[in-house]
Amino acid sequence: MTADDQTDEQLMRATAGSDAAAFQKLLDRYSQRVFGLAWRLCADKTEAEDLTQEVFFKVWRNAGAWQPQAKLETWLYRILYNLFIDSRRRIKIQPDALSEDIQSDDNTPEQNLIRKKNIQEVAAAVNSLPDRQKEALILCYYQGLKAKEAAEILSVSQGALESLLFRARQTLKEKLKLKE
Amino acid sequence: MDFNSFQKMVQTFGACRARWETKEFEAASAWAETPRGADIIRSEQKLDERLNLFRPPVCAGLSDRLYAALLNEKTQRQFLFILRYSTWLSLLFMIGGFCLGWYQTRQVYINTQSYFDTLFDINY
Repeated sequence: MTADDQTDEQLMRATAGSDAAAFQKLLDRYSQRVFGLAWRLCADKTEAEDLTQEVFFKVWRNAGAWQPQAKLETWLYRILYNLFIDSRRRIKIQPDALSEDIQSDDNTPEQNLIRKKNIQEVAAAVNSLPDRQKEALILCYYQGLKAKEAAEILSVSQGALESLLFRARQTLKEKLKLKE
Repeated sequence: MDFNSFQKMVQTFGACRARWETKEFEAASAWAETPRGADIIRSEQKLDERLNLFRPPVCAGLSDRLYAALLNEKTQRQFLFILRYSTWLSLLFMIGGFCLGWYQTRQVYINTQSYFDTLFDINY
């Protein structure tokens, strides 16, 4: 069995035994996804990287605490979400910093400008949502979690989560002028 | 599933069928084929397309950087552990050194004892 075939459970068990190589496999598997969530939540690349680093430090130190019944990805997101809530208390996030993170494609400068404007518009709309709606949308829509998993992370019922998602999408349609 | 439930579900989870969370997937798919259902899908698709623009930047070499940071932190923690217990460690080494010295001196003393005894006997 190659390292790539190893299940999350095997890798986590090895990590709990201080196996750095297994931990690196976990990093390869999940760091981008965790970073993606962090970036969408805090709208700042540097802050997102710091949060991602803190998540994996916690995983390295507490790998033994993970229960295989829980999906590893959901567990990582829960750690990140808790760290994000703590960091939001001490750091004032600057959503304007987001525009610096948007990368240009190989299009013409005009096309890039239009694309950048569209992305900024969507980012601003998502960031202007009430916190819970934004978090529900990010976890379910962008990170692809099931409503039940996202509800667990946000400590709400599945019904409440679906209601948050519904309202978030309705608000976004209004803000992006997509309502007919 | 009635039309309102279908509409609510699509407006909650989006136009992509893979995202739909319902026990009545067949019924939902059937509603999606109707003209009214298709209108709802089209409207949500527009929102999905816009939302899909909001993608995180590529963070090249992230896992390598995290791994390096972790190794660095591990070394720092070991150093801090030594620093935190440095007083006790110094005391421990001092006692260890003293015991070792005592033991070795005793070994030498065994040999020197007879020499001094002999020396004493010669003089007195």
